[in-house]
Amino acid sequence: MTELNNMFPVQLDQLGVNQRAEVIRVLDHPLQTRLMALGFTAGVKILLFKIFGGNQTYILQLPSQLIALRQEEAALIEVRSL
Amino acid sequence: MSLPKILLIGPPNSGKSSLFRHLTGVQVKSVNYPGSTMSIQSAIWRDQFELLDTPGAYSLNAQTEDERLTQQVIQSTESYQGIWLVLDATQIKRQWGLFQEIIKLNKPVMVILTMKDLLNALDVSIDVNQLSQQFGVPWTCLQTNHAAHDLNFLALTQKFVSQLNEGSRPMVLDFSYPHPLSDLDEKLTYGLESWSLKWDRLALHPVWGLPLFTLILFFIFASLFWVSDPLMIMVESGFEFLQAWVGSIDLWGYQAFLAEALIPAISSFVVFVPQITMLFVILGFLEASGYMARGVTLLDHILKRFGLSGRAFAPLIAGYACAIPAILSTRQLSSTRERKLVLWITPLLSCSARLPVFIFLVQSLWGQQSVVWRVLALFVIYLLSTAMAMSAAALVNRLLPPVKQDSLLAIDLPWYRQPAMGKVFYDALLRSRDFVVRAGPVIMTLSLLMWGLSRYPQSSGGEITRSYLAQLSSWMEPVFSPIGVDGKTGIAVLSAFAAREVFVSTYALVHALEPDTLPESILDDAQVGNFAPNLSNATRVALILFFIVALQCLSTVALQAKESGSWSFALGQLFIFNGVAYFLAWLAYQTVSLF
Repeated sequence: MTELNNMFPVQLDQLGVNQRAEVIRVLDHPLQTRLMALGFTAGVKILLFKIFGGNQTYILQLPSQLIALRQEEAALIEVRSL
Repeated sequence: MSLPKILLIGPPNSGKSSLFRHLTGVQVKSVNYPGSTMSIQSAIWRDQFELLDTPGAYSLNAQTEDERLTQQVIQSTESYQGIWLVLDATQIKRQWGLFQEIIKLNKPVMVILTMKDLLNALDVSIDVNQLSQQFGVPWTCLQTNHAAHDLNFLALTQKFVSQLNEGSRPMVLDFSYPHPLSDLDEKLTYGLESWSLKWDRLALHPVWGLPLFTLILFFIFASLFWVSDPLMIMVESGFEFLQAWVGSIDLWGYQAFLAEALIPAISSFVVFVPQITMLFVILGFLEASGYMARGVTLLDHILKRFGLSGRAFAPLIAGYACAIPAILSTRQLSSTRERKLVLWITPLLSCSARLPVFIFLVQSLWGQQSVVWRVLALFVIYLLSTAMAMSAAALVNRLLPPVKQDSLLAIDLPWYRQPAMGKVFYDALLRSRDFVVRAGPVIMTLSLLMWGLSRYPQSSGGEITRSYLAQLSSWMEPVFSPIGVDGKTGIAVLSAFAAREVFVSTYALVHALEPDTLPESILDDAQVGNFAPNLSNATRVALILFFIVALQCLSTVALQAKESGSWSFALGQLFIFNGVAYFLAWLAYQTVSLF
C-alpha cells in the first residue's frame, strides 16, 4: 500500500520531517525561477530536514545544500515520496 | 587606446569581491552605471584592463535590485569586452545555471573557481585543463587571497587579455552543458555537510533556534553600544583637541568659524563611523559565515505578519545604527512592495543619533533611580520604537492593494564557513565610506546653517537667545507650548533637524549649562535638577515620544527620495512622521500633566 502511495505526487508541505522525496515540478513561475537559480529542479532528491515556526517554515536538504521555504511555497511544489 | 573592460560576475559569497579586492587593493572607485542610481566598483589592473565588480547574482533572471543592476550591466554588451565568471568550487552544482546563462552570451569568458583551500582540505581536486578543453573557455581554480601571486592565474589572465585586445571570440565547444563535476559533489557533500548540519540541528531547532538567534542579536546590540563606544570617544576627543587647538591660534579671524562651526559639523557625522563600521563588520561576519541566512529564515514567519519577509532583517538591524546604510541595504529585497515598506519604516527605528537624546531625557526623568531602572527605561524606548515601526509596516501593508504572493522566502542556506575577515573589514569600510560620502555633506551643510542661525545677528553678549534661531523658535512657541516646550528648549528641538544629537549640546548652550554636568551614559549617576531644570516630567515624556517617531534627519529624507524614486514618498514621510510625533507628544504631555 505504501509503495502504491509513493507513486502519486503529493505537495511538499504534506511530507513529514526526515521524509525523502523526489521533486516533480514547481507549480508557480516566479518560485520556479527562483528555485532553479538555487539548483532546485525536477528530479532532485530532497530530505525534509526541519519544520518550525508553527509549520510556517520548511528546511529542505538537497544533495549539496539546504534550502528554506515558506509553507505556502512548499505547497506549490509537487514531489514523489521515496 | 582605451583599456578593455572585464566584468566580474558571480553569485553572492562566491569570492568575487574578495578576488577583486586582492587584485586591485585600494585603488577602487565607485562608478554609477548609466541609467542606474546604484554604483559598482571599478579598478584598473596593472594598466592592462579595467575590472568592474558587479553585485552578486544567482541568475540573469533578476529578482533583486542588485541582480537587476548586474543584468543591466551584462545586457549592455558593447560596454565591456570580457567576463570573469567567479564560481564557488564547493557549490558548483547550484551555480551551474549561471554558467549556462553566461556562456550563452557569446562573449569571451574566463571561469574562476574559488575556495581552492577548502578543496585541498577535503582532498579534492578539479581538472581545470579538462574543463577548459571541454567548454572552449579558460578555467582556473584558485584561493582568492593568493590570486595576485598565483602564476597560473596570472599567465591565464595575460592570455585572456591579449585575446580581448585582438578581439577574438570564444569557440564554445560543448553546448550540452551537463554538470561535469558530479563526483566532486559527492565528496564535497559528505565533507562539508556533516559538521554544518550538526550546527544546524541547533541553529534551526524549532524550539532553541530562535532564542539562540535572539542571544546573538543581543550581542550585536551590546557590541554596537559598548564595544564601539571607546572608539567613538577617541574620535570625539580627537575633534575636541583639534577644536581647542584651532580656537587658540590666529587664523586671520577664521578660527572661531573653524573651531565652533566647521570642526563640530564634521565631527557630528564622523563620530558615528566607528559604530556604523562595527555594525557592518558584524553583519558581514554573519553573512560570510552563513548564519545570516539562518537568521533570515528564523525571522521570516514573524516578519511575514507585518507584510515583510526574513530578508528585511538586514536593513532593519542596520536601521538601529543609522538609517542611511539601512536604506541602501533594501536593494537586496526582491519585492518592490516589501522594499517600499522597509523604506517607509526605516526612519522609525532608533538610530544611534537618538541615543544621546534618550540618555539625556531618561537621566533627567529617572537619574536618581537605580541603574537597572534606567537601563530598563532605555530598553522600553527601543522596544517602543520597534513596535512603532512594525505597526507602521502592518498598517501600510493593509492599506496597499493585496497581492497574491509578492515576496518569496526560498532562500539558500550555505554551509557554514570561516569568514575571510579581511574581506569583511574591507566591505565594512567601503559601506562606511558610502555613509560618509552620502550623509556627510548634507549633515555638515545643515550643521553649518544651524550654527549661522544660532550665532547671527550677533548681540553684545553673543547670546544664542537673540539669534535668528531664537527668533524662529519664539515665532514657533505657540506650536511648542502644547507639548510643554518653552522657547529656549524649542531652539534645541529645532537644532535637532541638523543632527538629532545636537539637541543635547544646544539645550546646554541655551540654558548656559556646563557640558560636564550632563550625563554621557545611562550608567552615570545623575542628579535630577542639576540639568534640564525647566523641563517638567510631562515634557520629558512628551519629548521621548517625539524623538522616537520624528523624522529629523534630512539626509535620510534626501536618500529616501533617491532610493524610492519619489520625492512625494520622502516628503510624505517627513510630514506624516513629524505630525504623528507631535500628536503623540501632545497626547503624552496632556495625559501626564493630569497626574
